[in-house]
Amino acid sequence: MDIVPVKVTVRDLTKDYVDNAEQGVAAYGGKLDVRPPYQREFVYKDDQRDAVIDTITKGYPLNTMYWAVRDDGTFEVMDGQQRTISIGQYVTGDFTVDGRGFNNLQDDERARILDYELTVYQCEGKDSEKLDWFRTINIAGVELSDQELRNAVYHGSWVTDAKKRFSKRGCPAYGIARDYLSGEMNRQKWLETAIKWINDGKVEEYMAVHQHDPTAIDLWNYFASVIEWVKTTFPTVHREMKGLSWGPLYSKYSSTKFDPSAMDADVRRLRADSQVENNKGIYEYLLSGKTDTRLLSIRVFDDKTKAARYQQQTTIAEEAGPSNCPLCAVGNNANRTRIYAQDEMDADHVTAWSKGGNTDLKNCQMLCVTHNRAKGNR
Amino acid sequence: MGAARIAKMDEFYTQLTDVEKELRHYKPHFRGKVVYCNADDPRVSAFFKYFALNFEALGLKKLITTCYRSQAPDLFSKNNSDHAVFLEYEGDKNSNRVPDPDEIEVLPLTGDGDFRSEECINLLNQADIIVTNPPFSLFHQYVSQLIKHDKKFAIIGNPNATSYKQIFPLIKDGKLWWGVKPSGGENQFFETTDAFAQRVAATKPQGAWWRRGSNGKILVGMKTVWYTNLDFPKRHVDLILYRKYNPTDYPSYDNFNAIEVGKVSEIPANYDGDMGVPLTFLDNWNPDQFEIVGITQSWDKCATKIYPGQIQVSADGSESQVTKLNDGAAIKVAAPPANKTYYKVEGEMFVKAYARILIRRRK
Repeated sequence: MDIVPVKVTVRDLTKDYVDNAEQGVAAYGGKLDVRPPYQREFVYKDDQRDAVIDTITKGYPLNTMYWAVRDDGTFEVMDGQQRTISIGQYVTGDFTVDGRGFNNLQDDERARILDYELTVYQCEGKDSEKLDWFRTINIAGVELSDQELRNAVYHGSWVTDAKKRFSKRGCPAYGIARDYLSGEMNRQKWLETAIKWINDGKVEEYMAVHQHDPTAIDLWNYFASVIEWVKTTFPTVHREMKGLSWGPLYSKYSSTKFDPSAMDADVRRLRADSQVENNKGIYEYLLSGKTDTRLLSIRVFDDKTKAARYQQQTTIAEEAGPSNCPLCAVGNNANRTRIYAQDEMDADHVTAWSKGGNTDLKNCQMLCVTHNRAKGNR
Repeated sequence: MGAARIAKMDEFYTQLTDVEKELRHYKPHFRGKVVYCNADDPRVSAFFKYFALNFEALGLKKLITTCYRSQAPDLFSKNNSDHAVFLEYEGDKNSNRVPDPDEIEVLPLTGDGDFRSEECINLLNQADIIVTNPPFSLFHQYVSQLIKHDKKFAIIGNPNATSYKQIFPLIKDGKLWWGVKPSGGENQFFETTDAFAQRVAATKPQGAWWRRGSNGKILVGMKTVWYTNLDFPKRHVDLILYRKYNPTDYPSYDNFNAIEVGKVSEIPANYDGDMGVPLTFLDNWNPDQFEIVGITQSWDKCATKIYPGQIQVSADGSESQVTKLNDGAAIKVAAPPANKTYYKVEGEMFVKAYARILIRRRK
């Protein structure tokens, strides 16, 4: 693992500068990938761009830039993309600052810019080392997402093709899955999600294996199947479907047969049920056979209801003799007459929510902690 | 005189940064060429400034620009003439790499500088490429002149001009196309008359309507596109298609044999017939991938059906007698759509699609 600080003049940096829009931006005699294909585009405002040129013209220092050294000896800009493009565009004569462009400068003014030295850290090493290093410098203020770093480190034909499919507004992934995925697509969040789904969360392992595949068609086909399955299983789109773990759900349940219209009706019913507090859990609840009500976060009894019910049960129990836990009261052991304090009891639905019971005083009973646990969800 | 006055009301001066951002994609076209910026005012023209500053870098042969008759003193002129003038610049003579006033030749025009006058047509004939922001109100006349004289050009216009009956056939025939700047991007900001700028600033919120330029002046925002017949690399990049055709997502029109595609990104990959797509398709039009066969709304005479009188039912349920359905692509519906205007014609119900360009796959 080598991290080498080098001085790069603007003259060398802007040699053979080409901007091919979608197809990327190259510089440094063609050896520097400034913006790989389908990566975030130039976002500097005019005044930010002009400030870079002003800084260089005055000979003030610009922040250090970071380049990754690739296997073939070429480089990719990890930090400094916007500044590099500003410099490249200016020297190529794409824009003027204060009424003059680079082409209008006198020789000495040009030389001052071309001779300006940028400090660049070049980082070479194994993929995992590079990733680790980038993550560390990332903490120091370089704002790249995890997946953007991985894309740089596992650079190759696979990444280029994957980005085309997953990382721009209007890309195929956006087209089929915009109702089902969340996160910033142009920060590679969707690509990350797709890889996590296909490889059980192990993103780097997958990228290392497929780095030199000509295309990412396998990932795309998998992703398209997941989304197709979601669309078929739950025909109506609902807000909360965005960002659910559809990949893992697909792995677990795609072999089970579901009736889409019944699923659709169930989703509507549960969404309309005021006692279901977590709509996001509805989908897994239905897929997993409607047993695990914890997924739905069924409404719980509020303190006022619990206190009222505790008081009623306790008053009756103290007058009549048995325990204030109705299940202990019908038992045979020493707890038959025990009066529990309120913090030793939990509220329970007499008729379970799944059988139509409401979360109100009428359907509330206080049970001792032991009996409440034992009752579970029946 | 009348035309010049109309032109004056179209006083929207393009900002240098917008000229730079678009023209950097066309640089190779200018080598050895005579560029003409007419219908323009060189005192404030970013076009003149761009080409004068980049004269050597672009390898221009000559830069000509006309200036409407103006009462105000002219930065480049020696006298305070109220005659229209034209300017010629043939590059830097004193090696200071910037255009100086005495390097710019100012010559009088006998008329008022109207682009249709004989003397302006003579200047046009000398030119290879025309780059300017013509008066929007005279846009189609302006374009017709350029086409008639077989000139190359890159000019700014309103996106709606695309559906003009004089402009659309040119687009369809590949004689002009939209430039690089995406039409759906943020508004382009123009310097304009103080009175108009003040009025906009006083009545509209800052942001998309207006903003302040670096010199503090109010710039007024407008939706614009570049219309050009200069080629650029982005025109040859295929749209990535991933959707499959099915009759539910892509209903057919009733008055033209094509399917409705509501989003450019959702053009089906496997449909061989005609498809109606939003005008923004032209941002991504690769003529090797799709050909353009027609347009709805103005239709360019291609609608296959004319509906008799229709009853329009608005979203709020109110009904009125109209003929509007003929303006657009009609889609038959089985039931009244929710919260949407629809039309009743002889017992059948239709909704009308937005303005669409009709395209067909080439490969």
